[in-house]
Amino acid sequence: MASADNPYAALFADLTAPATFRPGALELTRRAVSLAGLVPGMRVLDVGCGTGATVAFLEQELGLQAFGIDPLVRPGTPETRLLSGRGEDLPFTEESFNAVLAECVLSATGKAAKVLKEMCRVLRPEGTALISDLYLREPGPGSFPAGTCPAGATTVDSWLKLFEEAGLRRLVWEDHTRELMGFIARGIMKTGSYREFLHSLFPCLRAEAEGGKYGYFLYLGRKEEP
Amino acid sequence: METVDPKSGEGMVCGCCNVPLETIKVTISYLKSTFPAEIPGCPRCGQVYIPEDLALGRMAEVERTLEDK
Repeated sequence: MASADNPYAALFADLTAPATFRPGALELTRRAVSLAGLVPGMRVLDVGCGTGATVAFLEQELGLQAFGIDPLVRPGTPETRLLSGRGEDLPFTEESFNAVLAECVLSATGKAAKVLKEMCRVLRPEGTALISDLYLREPGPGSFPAGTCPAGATTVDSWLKLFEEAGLRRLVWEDHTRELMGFIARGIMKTGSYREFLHSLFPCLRAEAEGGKYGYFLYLGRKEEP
Repeated sequence: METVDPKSGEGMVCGCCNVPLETIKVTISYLKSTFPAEIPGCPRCGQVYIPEDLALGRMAEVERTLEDK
């Protein structure tokens, strides 16, 4: 998906400082890193890093050697830790990271299986995938535009099947729907309504799109030995 | 004499501390979810005043959405 077609391009282009746009924000990242047992110095990759707020957090707060990749990173950016690219085509050699993160990203790619395959390719043996994302609790009216998280959200069972098929062994599954609701509530307080909040995230949203009922999860999976 | 606007909380004074309310940052909890908000409150005791517009507007929308979603 070209940057101009990316539903999140406008959101991130307006930013004057790095920020996260996902339920749980950096506190959920901190929890995931802790549960994974990552220690300072380990090499980690943030797939779908946006403006790089999480990469900076991983490096500066948690002491990890962090890299990020996102189609929204401008090619030639002076920030060498951030690369322009896609999750389904990671420009890294096999087994080069201790951990790979995809936070509220897989659902937005529309190609979750391919991205997961790439994540596993660049993970070292026994490396950990740290994934948080929307899951679908109940389908609703209308549809979200391709490339948005709600459009790619699927059921818990479908997510777990995808992870297993990618070669991941489940270490952790946690429900963080409470963080999703807090994220929505914060958005409503800021914009005035749920609809306005959705439009602030996705300007291309059609009027009838309401979506269904969603939850949010944190999953940690270990790369299985082939 | 300062105008008092109960709808916005402007010009209101804390009944306990007798100091003017200011916009303060609070964390609101509803249905086990929490979210930050900036609303009129007492800078001394921390009690907040939720104006009618806010209660019937954004906060009601939050309640509806969280109950529905």
